[in-house]
Amino acid sequence: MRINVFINFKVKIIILLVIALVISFFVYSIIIKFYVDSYLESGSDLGRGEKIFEFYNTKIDDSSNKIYYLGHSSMKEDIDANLIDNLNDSFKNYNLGNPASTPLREVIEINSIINSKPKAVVIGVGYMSFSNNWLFPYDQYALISKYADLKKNNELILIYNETYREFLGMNKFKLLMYKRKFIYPATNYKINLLRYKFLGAEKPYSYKNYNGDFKSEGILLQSNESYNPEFINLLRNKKSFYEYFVPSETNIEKYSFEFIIQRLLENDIKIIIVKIPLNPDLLEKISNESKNNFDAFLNGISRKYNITILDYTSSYSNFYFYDGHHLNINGKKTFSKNLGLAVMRIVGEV
Amino acid sequence: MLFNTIQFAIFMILVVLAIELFKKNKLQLVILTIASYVFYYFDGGFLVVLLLFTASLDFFCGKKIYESKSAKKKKFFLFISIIGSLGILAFFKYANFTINIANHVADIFGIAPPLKLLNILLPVGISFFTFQSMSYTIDIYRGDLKPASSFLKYMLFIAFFPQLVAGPIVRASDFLPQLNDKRILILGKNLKIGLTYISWGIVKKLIFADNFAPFVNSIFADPMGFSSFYIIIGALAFGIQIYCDFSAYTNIAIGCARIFGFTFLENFNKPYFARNPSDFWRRWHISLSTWLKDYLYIPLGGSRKGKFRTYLNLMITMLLGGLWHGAAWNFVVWGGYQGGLLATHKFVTDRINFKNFFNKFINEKTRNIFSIIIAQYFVFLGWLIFRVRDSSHLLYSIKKFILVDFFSDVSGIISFCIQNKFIIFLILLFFYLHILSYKIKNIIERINSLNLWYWFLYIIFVMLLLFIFTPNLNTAFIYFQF
Repeated sequence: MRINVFINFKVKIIILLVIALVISFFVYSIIIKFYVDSYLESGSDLGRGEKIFEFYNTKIDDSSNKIYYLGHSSMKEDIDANLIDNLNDSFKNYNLGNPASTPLREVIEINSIINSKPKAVVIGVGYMSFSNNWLFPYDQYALISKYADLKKNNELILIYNETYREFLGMNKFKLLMYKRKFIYPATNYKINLLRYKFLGAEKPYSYKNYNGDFKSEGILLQSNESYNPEFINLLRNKKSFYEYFVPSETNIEKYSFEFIIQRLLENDIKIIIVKIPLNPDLLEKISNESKNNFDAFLNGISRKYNITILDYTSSYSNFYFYDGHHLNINGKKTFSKNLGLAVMRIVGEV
Repeated sequence: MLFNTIQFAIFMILVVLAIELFKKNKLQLVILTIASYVFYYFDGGFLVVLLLFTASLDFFCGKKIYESKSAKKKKFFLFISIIGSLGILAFFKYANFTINIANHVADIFGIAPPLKLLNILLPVGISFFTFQSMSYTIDIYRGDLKPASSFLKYMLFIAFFPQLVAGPIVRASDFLPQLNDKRILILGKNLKIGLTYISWGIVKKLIFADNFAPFVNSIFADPMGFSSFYIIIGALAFGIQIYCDFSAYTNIAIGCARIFGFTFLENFNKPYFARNPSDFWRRWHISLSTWLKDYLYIPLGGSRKGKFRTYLNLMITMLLGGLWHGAAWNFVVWGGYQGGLLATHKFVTDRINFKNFFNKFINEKTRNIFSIIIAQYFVFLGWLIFRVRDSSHLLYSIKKFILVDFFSDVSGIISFCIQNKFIIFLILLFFYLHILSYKIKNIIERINSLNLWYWFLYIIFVMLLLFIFTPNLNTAFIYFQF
């Protein structure tokens, strides 16, 4: 006699419902694991999240003289750490720049940075860093949530508001569910990759695989071109530059920046602040008020904590730029060399 | 408490378990009643007392109307009931709207300082439970209904949680007979059909409505400067969003009720296959349109008092129907627009027999397709009025919807479609499914009648779709605000 004779219809429905839930969740997890995670690691800039914390962990026992370069995409795209290594072999340089990053975003990494004991930290900043109108990288906050551990970190709780806490405080299950938003971009990316491979279409616009050595990897924007042809049009049509406006009063970004400075100094880590190079075409669009507020804030920090500022804001002509604040390959080589020499000189004096 | 949340799933499981655990009918009714008022309390807080007040007043008035011998007394208690119900609705929903109008008028004539707006919250679902309660006393007054046999049953009828906050507007004559003295049994067959309804509703809400919401918001936040193509796609997307959102709520409400063995009438019947404005209102929000017909249009005289009065009655009914949706001018205009469509359609069809006229040139199928396309053009134009609240934005959107200008910008259309391919895919998928549901009558019943193992595969498929396509942010049902 078949067993289901003994199970009444209602119980059967409930059992099937539970099994359906388990099966569908299992299939979903598989999709995320093998389809989305591979895209996040190799097809998007979001793969940095996991890699950077792994990087810090591997450097804890590395006693060499490490110099970290922090900042947003300008630092990431514009610095060739291998080239700087060749300038002086007593230092190991690491480009830890992160697209769309701001001091607030960098606060999450501060404990890991300190634990990995760098000799110096070079922090690149631009107007966007303190405007508080830059992109809010929700996805980055979500994907590094397992490293943030808000419960153990009172400092973070004080800095981040409820919205940030929601992303940073995701548990494993919530993060798994959150990752469904990447199914669509992953599909898009994979279709474009196939079109590139088999139909000779344009290579998909994405980061290369982060190789984890944080030297000069995964270049998105750079090319040999001295200008992105779309940039001039974009600049011409752009009506507002609010994301470059630095207010005179303090804000969460300025507060976070000072917090990072204090924490690094408390741990005897040398700090150098770098004003990133900007394309003169973009620079002339930024208001004097914003420029003055930016300078006043950084000069105040420099005086208060006795920190050197290297100013490259207007150092390069538009010949060296790919767009508004990303250098082309030629610009990258020049800037990396100039900055590397300046940093070695300062750090070497310590 | 939103249907599309884990909290509701837990709430529902607890209520079902409680009904299973307690076998006495009276106790089961008490559980359902308490659960319904707790459900309301989650969203409405202390405003749950309004629900209790409306229930008490109309139960009392209904009883008095039924017991009164004289017509005068009956009228008096009906008057008390209607004034009570409408008074609460008017105060909570329309007081600030009225003050705004008064201030505007006063400002024009410079006659008085502006009145202060009242600091009042709009109780969730007030429009639904008020109409439901009013129909109860009116039906008793008309002699169509006997009063509820107990206050407990009436309290449950007014507040039964599946349909409490966004309908359908259930009639006492449909629901009260279902509250008999037999034990409420959670049967396997009811569980299966209930879950089928719920799953279908959740798919509509989470996959269609919630994915359209950000796109629609981005189009209509500031439509100025958009070409006709954007506006038309925006209107299409909003039409699908509001249908999927509202009909999803109804599906879930019907499904939840079915699990307890209760039956609600369908609230939608493939509205985007309507062939004319009257047909649309026979298919869209059926419980509201029949309510308006039975308790407003017919008492106003319906079509019995001459042609002009018919048109006027249609206009009045739809204007008030529009106002029912919310205290804002765009709802009034939308109601007037719908009334105008109904009156115009009646006016034209009274004079011209389109069927005979067109049958000379085209076959019936082609004529029907043309009728649907023309009718839906006006329906989606109406959705612009419903959605866009800023008057300059609305005028611009209507202009772009009517005077199409995108033929010269083919590359712009292509790049828009590439950028929004998921939305375009969803629009096409929706219309495919809508056509499918037109061909396959009563698709939910068909799914329910599948062999258990196929049904199991359907449930797995739906759950997987939900895991994959649900947006990360939960959004409330649009009709919650009404």
